[in-house]
Amino acid sequence: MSAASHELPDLSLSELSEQIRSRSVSSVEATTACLERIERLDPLLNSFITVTAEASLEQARHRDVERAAGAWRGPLHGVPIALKDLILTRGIPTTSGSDVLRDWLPTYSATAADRLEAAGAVMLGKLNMHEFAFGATSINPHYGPVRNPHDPTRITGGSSGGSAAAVAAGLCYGALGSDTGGSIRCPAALCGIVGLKPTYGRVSRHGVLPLAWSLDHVGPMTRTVRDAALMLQAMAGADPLDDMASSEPVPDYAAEVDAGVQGLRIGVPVEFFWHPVDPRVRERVLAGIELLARAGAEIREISLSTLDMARAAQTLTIYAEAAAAHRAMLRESSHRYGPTVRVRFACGLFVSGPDYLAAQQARRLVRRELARRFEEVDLIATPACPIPATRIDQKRVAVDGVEAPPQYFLVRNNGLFNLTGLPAVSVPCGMAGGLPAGLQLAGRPWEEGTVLRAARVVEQAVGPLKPQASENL
Amino acid sequence: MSLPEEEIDRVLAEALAQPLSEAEFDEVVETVRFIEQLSELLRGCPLEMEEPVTSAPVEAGAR
Repeated sequence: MSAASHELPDLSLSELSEQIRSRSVSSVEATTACLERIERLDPLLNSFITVTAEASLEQARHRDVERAAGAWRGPLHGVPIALKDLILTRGIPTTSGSDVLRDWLPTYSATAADRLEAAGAVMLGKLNMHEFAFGATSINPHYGPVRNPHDPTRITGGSSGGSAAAVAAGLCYGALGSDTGGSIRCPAALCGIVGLKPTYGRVSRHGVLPLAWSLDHVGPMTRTVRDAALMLQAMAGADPLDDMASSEPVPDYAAEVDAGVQGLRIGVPVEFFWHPVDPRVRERVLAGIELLARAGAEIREISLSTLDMARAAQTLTIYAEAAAAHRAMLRESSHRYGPTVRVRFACGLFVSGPDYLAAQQARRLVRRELARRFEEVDLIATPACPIPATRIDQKRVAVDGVEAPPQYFLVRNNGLFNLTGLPAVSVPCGMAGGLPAGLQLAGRPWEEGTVLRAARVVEQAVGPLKPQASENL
Repeated sequence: MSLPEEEIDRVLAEALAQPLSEAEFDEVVETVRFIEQLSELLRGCPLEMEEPVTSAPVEAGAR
C-alpha cells in the first residue's frame, strides 16, 4: 500500500526505493512531496541554500520514464536527496556557506554527486552549513543559522547542519555531508539521524571543497542505517580524479546490515570520551552499549594512551591545512569571510612547518595504537557528541564541572577517527532531556559493514527519533 | 618561545586582504598561544625521527 502524498517524505529511503521499484509511487510524486515540505518547513529550518525545484522535477520525470520502460538503476532510482553546499555541482551555485563563493557556478560536479546521479538519485538542492565547514554550530553569518527540527531555537551542530536538519525533518531522503573533525557525526547526533564517516579514501573527494586534505571525508546522512549503506554503496570506490580514493574492494554493505553483533568485541575507552559528558547523554549512550551487549556483543574496557597527542595532532593539522587551502582566497577576500572563521583560518598561518610534521609523526603513533587496540576489539564505542543541542543564542555550557563555549564540546569526541581515517558512525540512541543523543561506533579501516551492523542493532531497539517540533510548524 | 605580537601582526598583514579588527586580532593571539602549547606538547612526545612522515591517515588508502 502506498503512503498518502503528504506522508511520502516520512518513508525511509529504503522504503521509498521499494515503492518506486514496484511502481506504486513515482519519482515525481516523491520529489513533489519533498518540495512541498521544503516550502512549508524550510523558511523556519533554513536547511537549504539553493533549491533546484524545476531541475529536480525534470530529473524525476526522466527517472519515471526510465522506470516505465523497465529500467531500474538500483536502490537510489528516483529517490530525492540533497548535497552539502561544498560539493560541487555543475551549473548550480556552490557557496560552501560563504559570501565569497555566493555567485560561483562550478563547471563540473564532484565525483560523489555524479555517482549518486548515475545511481538514479534526484538532486533537490544544496544544503546550508557552517561557513567553509570550519565550525560545528552551523550558525552561518551569511545564510542564517540552521535550526534543529527537534527544537528550532537550538543548533543542529555542524558543519553539515543543513544536511542533518533536512534529513531529520523529511525534506529529503538522504544527504551528503563532509567530516573533517566530526562534521557528519556531530549534527547527526544532535538531530537524531544516522551519520557515517567512511574510511579515509573510501569515497572520492574530487570536487569537494577542502577544509583539510588529510582529514576530509565525504559520507551519507540518513534516517536509517540501511539507507546509509545504500548511499555509501553508490559512492564508494576508486576514482582516477582523486589519488587518495582507494581501490580496496567495495563489499555489499546493505547485505551485511542485519548480521547482528553476536560475538563482536566492543571496546569502551575509559579515558577522555566520558568527561565532560552531559549525564543525560551518558545515560543514553551507556544504554545503547547495553543493547549491544544484550544482542550478543562482548563489551570490554580499553585504554588509549595517545589521546592527548591525538588531540594536539588533529588540531595542528586542521589549522595548518585549512590555512593552506584558503591561502589565496584569504589574500583576495578575507574581508568577505565571517568574523569567526576569518580568525580561525588566520590562526592556521602560525603552525610552523616542523610542528606540522611533528603532528604527522604523532598521527602515526596514534594510528599504531588504534591498530593494536583493534587486534583486541572489533569496534570502539563512545558518545558521539558530549552534549545535546544548545540554544542558538547560547554562549556558554557547563557540563561535568567544565564551563566553555558550545564548540568546545561539540566535536570533541570525533576528531580521533579523522586523524586515523577509521570509519565511524553516529546512530541515535535515545532522547536526552527531550533532545536526541548519538552513540559513536568506530571500526577498522574498510570495515564500514561492521560499524553499520552494530548501528543497526541499536536502531532496531531505539527506533526512529522523529522530530516533534516540526510536525506543528 | 612565544611569537611576539608584532610578528603576528606582520604575518597577518601579508596574508589577509584587509586588517583584522582589534577583537579579532586578540582572538588570533589567544589561539596562537594555544597552538604554541599544543606544539610544545608534541615536542615532549616520543616521536620517531627515523620514520618517514606521511599525512595519509590510512596507508592502505593510497593506490
